Amino acid sequence: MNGNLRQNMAWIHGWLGLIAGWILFAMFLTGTASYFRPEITRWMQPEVTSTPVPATTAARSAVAYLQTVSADDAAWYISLPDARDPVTHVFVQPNAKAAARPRRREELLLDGTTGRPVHGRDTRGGEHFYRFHFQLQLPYPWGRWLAGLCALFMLGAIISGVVTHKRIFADFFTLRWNKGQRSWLDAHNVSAVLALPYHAVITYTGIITLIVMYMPWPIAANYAKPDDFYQAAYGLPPERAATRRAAPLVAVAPLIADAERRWGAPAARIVVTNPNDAAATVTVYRTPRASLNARGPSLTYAGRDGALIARAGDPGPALATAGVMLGLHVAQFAGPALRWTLFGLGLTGAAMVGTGLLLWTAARRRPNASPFFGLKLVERLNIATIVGLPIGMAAFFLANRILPADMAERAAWEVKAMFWTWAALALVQFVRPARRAWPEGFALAALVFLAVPVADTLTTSRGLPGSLLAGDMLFAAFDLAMLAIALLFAVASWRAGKPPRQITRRTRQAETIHA
Amino acid sequence: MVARCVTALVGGYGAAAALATLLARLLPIDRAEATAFGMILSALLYALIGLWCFHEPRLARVAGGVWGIALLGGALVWLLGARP
Repeated sequence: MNGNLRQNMAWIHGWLGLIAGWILFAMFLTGTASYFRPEITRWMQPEVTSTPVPATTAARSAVAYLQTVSADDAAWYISLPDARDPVTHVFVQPNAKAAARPRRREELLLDGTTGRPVHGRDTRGGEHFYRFHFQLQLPYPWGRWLAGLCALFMLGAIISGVVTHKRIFADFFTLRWNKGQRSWLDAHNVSAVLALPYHAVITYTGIITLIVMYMPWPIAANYAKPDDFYQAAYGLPPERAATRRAAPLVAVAPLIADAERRWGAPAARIVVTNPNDAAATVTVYRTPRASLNARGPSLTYAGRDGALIARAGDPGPALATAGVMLGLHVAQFAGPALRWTLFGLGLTGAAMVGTGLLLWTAARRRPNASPFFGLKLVERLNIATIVGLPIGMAAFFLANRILPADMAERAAWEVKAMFWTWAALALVQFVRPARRAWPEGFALAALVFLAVPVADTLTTSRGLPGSLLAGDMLFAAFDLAMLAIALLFAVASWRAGKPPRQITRRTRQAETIHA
Repeated sequence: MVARCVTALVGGYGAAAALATLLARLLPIDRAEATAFGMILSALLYALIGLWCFHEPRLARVAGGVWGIALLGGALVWLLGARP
């Protein structure tokens, strides 16, 4: 404010990072876990096994089942199985008459081959982390606004952080261990600079995913009815009111085959509106894996005779950019190798925020002076977040294995297990001095993550090492990842427990102080 | 300091919204495209305006600039009305 550009930016960088840091850490961690959203759900429903089948087969069997149970629905939303999720997911929208009846289960899981419902234990699965990542467990719309504000702070922190930097290239190669504050700054710089393109892209595209909610005014200026924008932008299929004249639904498999032939790419989803009505439509959506743009094209067929009545998804440059931004954020295009890479980059994001938070305290600690209240508060909140949240996430997995499979409100209890564990840790840490709370917290985290594969082995037939031997790669990879995280925490505990080396010479430089 | 923060957060949003909406309203291209351009750029505008609020030393200039853009831009959007 009163200094030059670099000093001002260092000042604002420090405060932006501090205010939003804890929430951003949680968003980074749960968002990173969400790269494996369907895989986490599959791990949390170990009873559900299903062999992958072609989309056409799954669609045929799902529609056959829905015809027997709810032939007069307003719409069926059918997510077809693929390599990552071999189960068909169905949402049904009841018609106006039936809406008064007691609500059915929100989501149906159907076996791809038989079309019969498959029953797994009640769980939120990977969906929980995914939702928390942008809703923060707060009521709509406050969680989304808060997440958006934190993302904006992150964007501001990235821009000001880049301006603050004198030697961005040298920082690639600089990590000085055991030098107190200097090391935290190096760690912050390495994690931030190495993956800077990732951080910038993930932050900006994250804001864009909900931009229609955050910034609706451009729509209001151009459209009298916002729905017209969504129609034009997202290529929604044309709405057709039910005619109340019955007409049997054509076979959907040939329609999907036709769509897949036109695209040269698989279908991911079909939506059937007003099934068995003369005005029925079948809309087939292309898999988001076929391109960077998450909003793939769709083809709409008449449900009565299978004629192609509409095609959507040839956006102009701006809408294509928005679609690609969304695609880059949710990364559905990524294959296993890229997905694991993105997972690692997401963890560097959490590391960047975490080291930044630690740096804030390290930069303000004075030798031989008792820490002031703000410093103690920030330090305790750092422990609560950086140690507490991962343990809470592990508790979520453990609860999934320990709670009885037929317990009432089971999915909600799993979520409660995560937040109560997190809250308890945030309080319990006060019985220990902060210097001891770090290594002990990390040691606890290592134990809890180690317990996850153990609980998996004890309570299911798909645990290690059997899953590895049987080629059940999803379960093997999940449990091995838990072990790797446990090891990481063990190392962190060991390092945090070493007494700090006396700094004999003050190595602090002007650029290091975010004050 | 409080004035600066409020200006950055609230005024910055208003200014970014006004600029993005003006852009969306006035770009002589397909309206869905113009709308998308406005929305995509709005986040960058907001971040840059917010940072500038803490860079510029004179508070009067910060407040005048940000609230001025927000009010003038908003008034212009209101006068223009929805795209026919």
